[in-house]
Amino acid sequence: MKKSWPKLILATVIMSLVLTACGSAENSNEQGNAAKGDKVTIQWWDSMTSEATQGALTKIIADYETANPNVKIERTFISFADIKNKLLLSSAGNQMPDIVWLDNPDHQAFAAAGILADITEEVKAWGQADKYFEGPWSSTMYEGKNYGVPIGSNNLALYYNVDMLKAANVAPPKTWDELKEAAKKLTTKDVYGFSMTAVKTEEGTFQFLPLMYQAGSDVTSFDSAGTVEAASLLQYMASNNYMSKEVLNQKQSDTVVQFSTGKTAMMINGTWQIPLLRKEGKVNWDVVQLPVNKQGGTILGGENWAITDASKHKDIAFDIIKFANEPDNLKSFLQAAGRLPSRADYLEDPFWQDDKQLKVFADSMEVAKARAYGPNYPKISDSIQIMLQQVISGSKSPEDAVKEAGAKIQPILAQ
Amino acid sequence: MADSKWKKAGITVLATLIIIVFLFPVYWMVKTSVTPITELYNNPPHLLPVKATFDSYINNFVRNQDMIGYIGNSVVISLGTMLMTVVLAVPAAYALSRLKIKGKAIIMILLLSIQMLPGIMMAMPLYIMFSKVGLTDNYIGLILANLIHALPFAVITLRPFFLSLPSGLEEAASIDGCNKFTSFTRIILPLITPGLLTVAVFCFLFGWGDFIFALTLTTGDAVRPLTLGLYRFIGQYGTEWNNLMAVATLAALPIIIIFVSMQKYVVGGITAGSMKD
Amino acid sequence: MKAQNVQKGSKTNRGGIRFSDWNNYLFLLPALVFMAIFIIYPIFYNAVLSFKDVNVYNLNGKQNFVGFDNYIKTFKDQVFYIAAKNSVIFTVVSIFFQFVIGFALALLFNSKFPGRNLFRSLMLLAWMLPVVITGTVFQWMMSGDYGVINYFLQSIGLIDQPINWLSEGNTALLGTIIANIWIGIPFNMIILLSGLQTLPEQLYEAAKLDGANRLLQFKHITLPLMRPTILVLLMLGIINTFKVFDLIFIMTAGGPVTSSTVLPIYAYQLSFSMFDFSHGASVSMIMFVLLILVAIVYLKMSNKEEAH
Repeated sequence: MKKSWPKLILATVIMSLVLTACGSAENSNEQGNAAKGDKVTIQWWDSMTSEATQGALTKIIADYETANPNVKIERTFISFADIKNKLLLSSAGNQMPDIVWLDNPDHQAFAAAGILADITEEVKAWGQADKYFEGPWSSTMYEGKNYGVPIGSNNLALYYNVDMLKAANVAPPKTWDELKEAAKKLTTKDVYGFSMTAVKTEEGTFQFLPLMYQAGSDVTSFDSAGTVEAASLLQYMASNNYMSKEVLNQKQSDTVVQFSTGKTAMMINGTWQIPLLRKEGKVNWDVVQLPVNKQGGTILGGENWAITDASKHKDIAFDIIKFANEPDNLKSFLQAAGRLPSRADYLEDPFWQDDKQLKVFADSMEVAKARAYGPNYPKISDSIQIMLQQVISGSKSPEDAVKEAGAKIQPILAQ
Repeated sequence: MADSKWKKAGITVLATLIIIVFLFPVYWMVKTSVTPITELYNNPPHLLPVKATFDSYINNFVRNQDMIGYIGNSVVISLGTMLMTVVLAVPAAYALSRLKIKGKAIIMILLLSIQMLPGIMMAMPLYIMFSKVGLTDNYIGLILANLIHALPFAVITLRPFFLSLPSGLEEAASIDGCNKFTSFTRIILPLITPGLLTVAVFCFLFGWGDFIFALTLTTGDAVRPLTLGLYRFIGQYGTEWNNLMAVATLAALPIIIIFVSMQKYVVGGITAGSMKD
Repeated sequence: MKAQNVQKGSKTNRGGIRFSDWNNYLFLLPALVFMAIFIIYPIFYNAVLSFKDVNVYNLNGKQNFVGFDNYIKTFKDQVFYIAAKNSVIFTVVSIFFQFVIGFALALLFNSKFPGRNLFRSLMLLAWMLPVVITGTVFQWMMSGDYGVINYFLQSIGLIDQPINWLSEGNTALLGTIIANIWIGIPFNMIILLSGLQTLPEQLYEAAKLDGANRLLQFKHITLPLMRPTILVLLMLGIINTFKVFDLIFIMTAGGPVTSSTVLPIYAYQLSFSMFDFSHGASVSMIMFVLLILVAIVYLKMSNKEEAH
C-alpha cells in the first residue's frame, strides 16, 4: 500500500486527465443525441434580476417545455455588466448559448462580430416585422440583415417626490431652467435635489445622451455647443452639491434606492422602476417627461432576442422566440418587468394606456431615440463615460472634456 | 516589580484599543447587516444597531437560497484545491529540498515567478483551453486554476520544513530497508505534519477567496462560488448595503471558524512560507 | 546557487543508492507536468496573443501576426503611463504604511502581556477575509454621503465637508490604498514579530548595561539584525501589491476616469471592456517581465540570507 505512493500520484494525474476527456466525450454525446431528435437542450441567457421578472420568464419557459416535451430550456442568469464579456469569451471558447438577450445598443456590435445568426429569412416567414416601432427594430438590423427580435422597450423620465416638491412649493420642472431651480430649492442637509447615474458602464451613457439630444446635439456631432451645454448642466448640479458626486458609482438601481428612501427629491430613471417603486417605495412619488431645453426628447432602451451563430438548433430557438412573443406570454412578462412593448399593437393594451404613470413612458415611445450608431458603439460609449466622469468629478471642465471625447469619437465614427 | 505590572496593564489597554479600531470594519459589516433600510442612510450614522432586524438574512438565506448553493460550491472548490495541491506539492517540495535534482535553481525561480503572476493574465488563455475540453463551469476547472497560485506557494512553504529535518534520515531509513519512496512516506512525511496542515489551511483559503478565476471561468450558478455570489449581489443590490453586508458576513463566517480552530498553523504558515526559502 | 543543498543532497544519496538518480525526478514529475500544461502553456499562449491582432471581430476568424504593433500601441497610450504611475504609487504607499504600522505593532506585541496571542490572532482576521468582502465593506465605509469614515473624520474636526472618497479623482486611489493597507498590516506584523522573537535577548541586556536607551537599541541592534527579514518582506510586498486586482475592481473598477487604474485593471479593461485581446495581452506580458525581474532580485536576496 505504502509503496504505491508515487503511483498514486501518477494515477491522480491520469485520472484527472481521463475525467477531462470524459467530460468532453459526454458533451459530444449529448450533441449527437440531439441531432437524432431525442431531447434537445436549449441554452438561454438573460440578465433579468427582479423576482417578478424571473417568475414571468420561468413561466414562459415552463409553458414552452410543456407544449414541446422534447425541448429542455436551461436558463442562465448573467448580470447586465457581465453579459457582453461572457458572450465574447464563450464565442472564443465555442461554448455559446442558443438564445441570448442583448442590450439593444450592443446588438449591432455583436452582429458585426459574427456572433449572431442571420435570421432574415425566418423573420420574413414570421411576417410580423412591420408591427414593431422603428427604433427598437432598427437595433436588430445590421447591413440590411436581421439579427434579432426586440423583447421590450423602455425610456427615461423624471421621477419626483410629491411631498418634497409640495413642501418646497415647486412644480415638476418642465424646462432645464426650472430643473436647475427646483434642484436648488429641493436640496437640504439630508436630501439631494437631483439624481441620475453617471456610472462607468453603458448606463451612464444611456442617461447622458437624452440631455445631449435636448440640447440639440448628437453623437454624430459630438464636439459641439449642445454637448458642452449638457455636460455643463451636470457640472452645475455636482459642483453645487444639488446632485451627489457619488452618482459616479451609483447605478440606476442605486439611484432608485436613494429616491425611494427619501434621500433624493428628483431622479432621472427608467420605465422598469415602476413595479419596484410601487411595491417597495417608501415615498409618495410621481413621474413626468424629461424637461425640455432646445427640444424635448428621451432615449430608447430595451433588450433584444438573438440567436447565436454557433447554435445547433436555430429553428427551435426561433420557435421559442415566436412562442414568447405571443400576446399573452409577452405582455405578462413586460408587465412584471416594467417594460413597454416594442410593437405598436401591444402598446394599445389598456394596461399601458390607462395607467397615468406608465402612459408617461408609453407616450414617449414614438419619439424615443434609439442608439443606432453602428458596430463601434461600445467604444464611443466608453469615451462618453470617461467624459461624464471627468465633468462630474470636476477633474476637467465641460469644454475640455467634451473636446477630448469628441477627438476620440470622431475617428471611430469615420471608420 | 509594580512598575512592570502597570506597564503590562498599560500595554494591554493600548493593544485592546488598537484591536477595536483595527477590527472596526468587521464590526461595521455585521452592524450594517442588521440595520433596516430605513435607518441605513441616516446622517449621522448610528454607531450601535438601532431597530435591529434580521430581515436581510432572511431575504438572502431563507427566501432566496442561492447563497446556500454558493457556499456548497465554495466548500467543494476549496477542499479540491487543498487536496490536489497537497498531492502535487508534497513530493515536489521533498525532491527540491532533499534529493539531487538538476536545475533546482531554475525551478525555484519559476515557482516564485508564477506565484507573482497576476491572475488576470492567465484568465483569457485558461478560458480558451478549458472551454475546449469542457472544463468551464466545472469544479475541476476552477480547482486547476486555483492550483496555479496554490501549488508554488505550497512547494515554497514546505521546502523549509523538509530542509530542517536532519540530513541523515534517509540514510538511516535505507539501512532499515526502506527505499527512496518508502522512506519518504514512512519516515519523512509524518515528521512534517505541521507543515502539511499549514499548507492545507492556506490552500483552502486560496480556494475560498478566489475571485478572478471564478469571474472568468464560470457562467451559471451550478459551480459559482461564494465570492462570485457576493459579486452578483453587488450587481443586484447596488447600495442596499444591509443586504450586501448580510451576504458578506455569512461569507466571512466559515473563514472565521476555520481560523479560530486552525490559527496555530496559519500563523506558523505565514512565517514559514515567506521567510525561509 | 544552492551549494549547500546540493551537498546535502549528494550526501543523502551516497549512503543507500539503490535507485538511480532519475527516480528523484519522479517526485517532481506530477507538479512539473501540471505546471507545463496549466501555467507555461497559458503564458506562451498569452505571449503569442500579444503579437497578433485578436479582437472581438476576428476571435473565430482569421488572425494575423502584427509583430510589435501591440507593444508600440501600449507604449504610445497615455493611459498605460497613468496606470504604471498608479501601480507604483499604490505599491509604494501601501507597502510603506503596511510596513511602518506593522513594525510598530510587532514591537508592541513583542512584549509579553495578557491576551497577546488572542490579539495577534484577531489582527490576522483582516488578512484572511476574502478580498471581495473587504472591498465591499470599505466601499460602504467610504461612501461620500453616508459613509462612517466621513462621519468620524467630521466628528473629530479633521474635515468640514464629506469626502467622496471613491468618486473623486484625487481620493479614489487613496481609498483603495487605505483598504489595502488594512489588509496588509497583519501580515507584516506577523512576519516582523517572528523575526523579532529570534533576536537574542542577551544583546539587549548587554546594551542596557552599556546605557543604551530604547531608541539606540532599536537603531543599533534591532534594525541591523532584522535586515534580512525586512528586505525579504519588502520584496514580497512588492510582488503581492503590484498584482492587486480584485480589491480595486470591486471598490472603484479603476475610476473615476483612470484615477485608480493600475496595470492589472488596465489589462483587464483592454481585454474585457474594449475587447482588444491582443493589446491586453501585451500589457500582461510587460507586467510579467517586470515581475520576473523582481523575482530574480528576491531570490538573490534570500540566497544571500541563507548563506549567512
